[in-house]
Amino acid sequence: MEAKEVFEILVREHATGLMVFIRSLIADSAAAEDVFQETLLTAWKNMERFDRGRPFGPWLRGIAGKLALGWYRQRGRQPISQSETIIELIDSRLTAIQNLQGDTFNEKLDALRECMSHLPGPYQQAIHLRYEQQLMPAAITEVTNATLETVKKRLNRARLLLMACINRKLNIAESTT
Amino acid sequence: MSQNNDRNEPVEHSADDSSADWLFNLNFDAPDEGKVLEYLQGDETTDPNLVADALLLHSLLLQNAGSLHDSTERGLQRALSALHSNDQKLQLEEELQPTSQSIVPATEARVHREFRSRWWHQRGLRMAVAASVIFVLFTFFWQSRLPSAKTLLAQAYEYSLALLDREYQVTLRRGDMSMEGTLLVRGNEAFLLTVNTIAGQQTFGRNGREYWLAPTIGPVLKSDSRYWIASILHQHSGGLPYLEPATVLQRLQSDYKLARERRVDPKTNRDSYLVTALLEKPEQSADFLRPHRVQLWIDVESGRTQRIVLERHAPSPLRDSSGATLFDGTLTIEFNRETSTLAPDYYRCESRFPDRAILSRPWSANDASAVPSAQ
Repeated sequence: MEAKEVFEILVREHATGLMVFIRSLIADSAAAEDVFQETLLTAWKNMERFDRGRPFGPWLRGIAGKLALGWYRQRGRQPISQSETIIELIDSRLTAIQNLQGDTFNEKLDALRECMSHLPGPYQQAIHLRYEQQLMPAAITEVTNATLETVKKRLNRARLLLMACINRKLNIAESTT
Repeated sequence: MSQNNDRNEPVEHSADDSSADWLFNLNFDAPDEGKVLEYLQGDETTDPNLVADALLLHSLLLQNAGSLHDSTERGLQRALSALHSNDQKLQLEEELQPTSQSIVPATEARVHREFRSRWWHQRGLRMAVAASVIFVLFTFFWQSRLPSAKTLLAQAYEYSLALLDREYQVTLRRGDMSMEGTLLVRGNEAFLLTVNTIAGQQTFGRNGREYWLAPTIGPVLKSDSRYWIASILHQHSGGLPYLEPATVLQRLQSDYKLARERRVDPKTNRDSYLVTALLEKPEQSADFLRPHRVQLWIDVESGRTQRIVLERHAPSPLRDSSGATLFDGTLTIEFNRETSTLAPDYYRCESRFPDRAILSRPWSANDASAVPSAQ
């Protein structure tokens, strides 16, 4: 099997996790897509540097993290002193997610879905409307007949509950404190 | 109507939510997304764990909702295409470079001629054996490298969940009868099926929460019961309530024996995966409307489900004039186009039929008989 074929199989396997990582760092979807593509091309050019005894996903994310910081610099935004720390923390969480059961990244997200199913009804609805229906908080107020403040509060609390729940599942709370 | 508030809603978290308010009040999707990091720059007391959790959770929720799927696929395709085109360029450059040839003195060639002849003979045999082994290995690899049917199904299901508006051509054949319609689907949230009948156009829809039917004449009927739409579809189009591709793909993940092969789609002439699903124990299936055989044609390059063909051959004493049982039929859902520009209220009956009365009530499956016939 050619090196490029092996590379293609590896990147397909890690593509979803990589995009999740990049979108954690860059919210603009077009820019994230550019960084995603650049990451894969950079990885291919540097394949000889990849230690085959180590996992491929963290290596890809290492490249993506540097490119994301470069993207911020290009836009005239000096990366914050702790941004590299945050990138490392996100990376470690994704490594923990990769270790969950499931063949695909989406199967590994069962942990998140389970956490979502345990949210109180109004919080579940807020998350559903925000992410599944892609409604902004102002639009959610129209559907739920709640005030903007209430919607924001529900989203905030829902996210906090989800974060706590996922951290419990990943058991990373202990390792990061 | 009174406004809801959160005063008495349960809060079960250990973190101090007020400390995270600033983070979540930022608009992650705004073009000026650098705000999050800029904000952090001025606040060194912020716990980086909290920031990392929040940023990752937002991204995970986007992924879970299917919002990242298309950009991932696009980025992947673009990168791989760039790699392939770069390879072709390099190959061309290599071909254009002059090759250096070693010049063997004639005397030396004469000395070694006999030896080389024997060596080539032996080498030829070895090469023939090696070629056979490589061929067998290549064939094995080629087959084993095909993604499993389950993986293909999971990928197709994931693809179908994207919140994009996709248009399909729907054709139902039952005996001599044939019915065509246009189906518009948004992920597994909403759909709109327009069917042309003898009496005129009839529209079924789902707006994410409710199902509705706009008959040729009369008021639009709306219900929050999925059984209602299933009953109506069965009553008016010979059953097969498997309209949403996402629903079809989800239901195939259990109770079906799956097989896959790589073929050229005869309709599109494109490299495709053909996944065939056979219902394992039809006689034991609680859902007698379940298709017995489903074929999915998945485009290799785009990963898109191009066509779904659902066939049902249920044993039934009820037969029509053509001899087919009342539950026999073939439904073909063929992809037409994709768009993400439709208005959010496109699937609401209130928007589509603003001049018609809307009857809304909690229907049950038994109420299906009360629905006016479509003629």
